[in-house]
Amino acid sequence: MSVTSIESASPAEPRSEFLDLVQTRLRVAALLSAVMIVGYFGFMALFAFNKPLLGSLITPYLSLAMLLGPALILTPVVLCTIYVVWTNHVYDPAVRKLHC
Amino acid sequence: MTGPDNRLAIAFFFIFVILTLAITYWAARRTKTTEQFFAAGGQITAWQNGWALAGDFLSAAALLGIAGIITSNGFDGLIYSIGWMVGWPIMLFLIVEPLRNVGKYTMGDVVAYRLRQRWVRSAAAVGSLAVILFYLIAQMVATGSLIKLLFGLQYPIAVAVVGAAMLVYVLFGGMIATTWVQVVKAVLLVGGVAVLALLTMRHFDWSLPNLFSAAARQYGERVLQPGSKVVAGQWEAISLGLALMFGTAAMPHILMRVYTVKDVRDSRLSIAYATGIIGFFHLLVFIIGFGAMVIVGPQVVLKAGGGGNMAAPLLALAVGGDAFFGFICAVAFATMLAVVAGLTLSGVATLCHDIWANVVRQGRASDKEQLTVARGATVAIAVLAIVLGIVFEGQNVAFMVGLAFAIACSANFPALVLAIMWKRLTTPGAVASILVGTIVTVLLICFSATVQVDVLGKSLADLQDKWWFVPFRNPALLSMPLSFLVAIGVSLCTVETDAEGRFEEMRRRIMFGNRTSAPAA
Repeated sequence: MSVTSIESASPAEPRSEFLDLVQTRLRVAALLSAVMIVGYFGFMALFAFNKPLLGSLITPYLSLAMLLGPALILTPVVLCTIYVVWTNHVYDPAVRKLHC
Repeated sequence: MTGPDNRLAIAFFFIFVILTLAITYWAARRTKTTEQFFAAGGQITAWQNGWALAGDFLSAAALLGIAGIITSNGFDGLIYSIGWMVGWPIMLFLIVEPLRNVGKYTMGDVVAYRLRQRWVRSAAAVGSLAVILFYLIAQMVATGSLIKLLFGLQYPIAVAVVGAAMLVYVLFGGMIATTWVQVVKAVLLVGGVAVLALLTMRHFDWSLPNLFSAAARQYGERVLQPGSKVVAGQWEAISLGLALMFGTAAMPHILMRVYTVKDVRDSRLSIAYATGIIGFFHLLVFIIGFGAMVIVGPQVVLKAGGGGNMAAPLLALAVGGDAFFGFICAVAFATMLAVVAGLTLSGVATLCHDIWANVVRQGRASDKEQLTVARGATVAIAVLAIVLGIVFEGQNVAFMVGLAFAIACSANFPALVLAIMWKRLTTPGAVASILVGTIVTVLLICFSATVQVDVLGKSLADLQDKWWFVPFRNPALLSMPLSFLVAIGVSLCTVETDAEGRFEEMRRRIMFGNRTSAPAA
């Protein structure tokens, strides 16, 4: 009884909430992907087209490349952690709320 | 290699094989349905699956190959380390959610969901099988020659031993055994590499600046700077980057692991764990590469044979003695074994689930029948891998790894992403995109210097003389956009109302999974 009354009261409501949530997840996914893609291809562009800059020494035994390389290995770890924390604490509860 | 004692390495390796066969015996009694055979019944925890993903992905090339490149070229080896990392977040953000919630065992499930099953599944199977086959050949040949180098075993025997062991794991233990083989291997590999890195750092008073300055003093500042020997050509580098990033995100044997855990939350978590483990591993290999450069020396590594692959084992010998050398060799062997097992299982899933159950029998195959087909396919793929491994002995097949990543990125990735994100994708669009991606990638590699010069021995000048255009060694820069364009172009020229209508339903399923009893939209 209660289910039908909610549905008939606002048929459009859960649907738009659903679309909002779809959009939100896509935006978060796109933003985080963009960070990774821009960071990686930015680095690869330097590697391809400006080796001297990438090879410049910051301290006598540390080149820019040796700093950015390991940083790029750690970036995916950080981004994946952010996404998993977001889905566990924001997205999944929202999905559960919508599903009931 | 005659110096160090191989008997220890062989003893360590036999311990690994006995342990994994015991696991297989245990797993075989828990493998009675296709769900268990292909997805371990969803019983793996996220943490275990993270290690298994790392085990699936880290091939011998990740340790022996990259350490060797760093030892002889310095920084440039890191280009591969980075490339093998950056695809993971893309996979997690764009693909894992739909893959897990919409699919059952393979990426074909997702691409075909809204479209006409038989066509799309067949095409998706072609893409997946091409990736798996080339990757498998490359692994088998590398395995045979590396085992010859490390253990002094005959090449055909080495290939047969690896093929037989992998056959036993997959045939009897399915995904449960394969998962645990991967976990054991990954723990041994990362543990061994961590100890090797620690023993190396002890030589440099636990200071990275000491390590790098020692390298720069001996071999010049160039080892700290990017060079052009490893990746020649500017656009080649960008193209390689594309294949590594988006190819990783669409590797069939990796994607298959999202189904082995209980829900999508654990799928995501296991990808995040795997990313952490693999990143940690690559940072350690970076240290090992420079350590081998300073402690062992590039000339010694080169003289040991195997094109630089001996850098890490020789460093182990130098800092840890015979026993540690044996251990690292055995770990490298175990690594190859586990990777081919994972690849074989994903090939079996494609043949059995996509081709047999859905294309040939159109969903009418019983569970028992599917399991029989899966076991037959396992034997077929194992025999094929052994035969091709022996046929290609001594051939330069390193390019096949690059080819596998390029096909994954040009054939699998565009169809998968468009199926998920783009309402207008039609059956002809998806099929054309997958086939064009696969065929164009293979053709471009065949006409590139990789095959023409390195394999067939023609001269580059001769090649450029004959054709105005010699394709890249890394074709992704051409083939991936082409595949996207074909998918979009063909889809816009065709109409498939059904597929558009089911888009909404798919989006619900991406969010809610198949527990969906949500009110119809």
